[in-house]
Amino acid sequence: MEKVVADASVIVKWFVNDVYSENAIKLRDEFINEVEIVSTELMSYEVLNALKYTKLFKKDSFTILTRESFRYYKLQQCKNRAESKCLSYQNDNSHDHLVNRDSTCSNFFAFWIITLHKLIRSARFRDYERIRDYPIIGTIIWMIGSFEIDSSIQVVGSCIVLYGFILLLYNHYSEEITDTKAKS
Amino acid sequence: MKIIERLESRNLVEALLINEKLRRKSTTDTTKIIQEWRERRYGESGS
Repeated sequence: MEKVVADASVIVKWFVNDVYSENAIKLRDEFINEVEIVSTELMSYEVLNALKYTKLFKKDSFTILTRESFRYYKLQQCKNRAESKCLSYQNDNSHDHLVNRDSTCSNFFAFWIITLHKLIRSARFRDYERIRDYPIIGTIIWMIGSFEIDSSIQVVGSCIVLYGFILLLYNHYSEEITDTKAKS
Repeated sequence: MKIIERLESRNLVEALLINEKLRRKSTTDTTKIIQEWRERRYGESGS
């Protein structure tokens, strides 16, 4: 059975008539026979919280909805964020309800790292061996982050790269200033 | 196993019936409610 990752904002639309709720109901109908819906552990809380804030349900109907309808659907939950993201990447783009916002984020970081690498290579390296290690270490950490699909590790890697790059520029320009002073 | 399967399918039918019975028309955008909640919890990046 095909697995589909659904966001909480889609599941909410099963219970509330809203914009795009027709598409959400279509997914629910598919879920009964054709597809398996996978979601994060927080999804149920997000859905119920959103339903609560709509103030459309009285206390009694809300408890029935929580205890019977929502629970009986038995949506499969991912153990961690990485699993849900892997599944969302595996799915086709035809499912517009998928959670895929981090892919653009990763592409941005990849572009940034490549640009930095080009800049660093063009800079003078021979005197800054220690500083040169920062971007390399940062890139390795960033790559680990991208394998684990964890944006926080990627951010740490990017920060180290940026730190190394700033140090490199600082040393480069401070040496140039001292050279010009010595010449004069 | 068959009894469990039958019960599970019955649960799904019941879930659908309750779902259809209780569905309301919303005046507020539920996606925005979730987005705002996530922003409060995780910050503006949402991760």
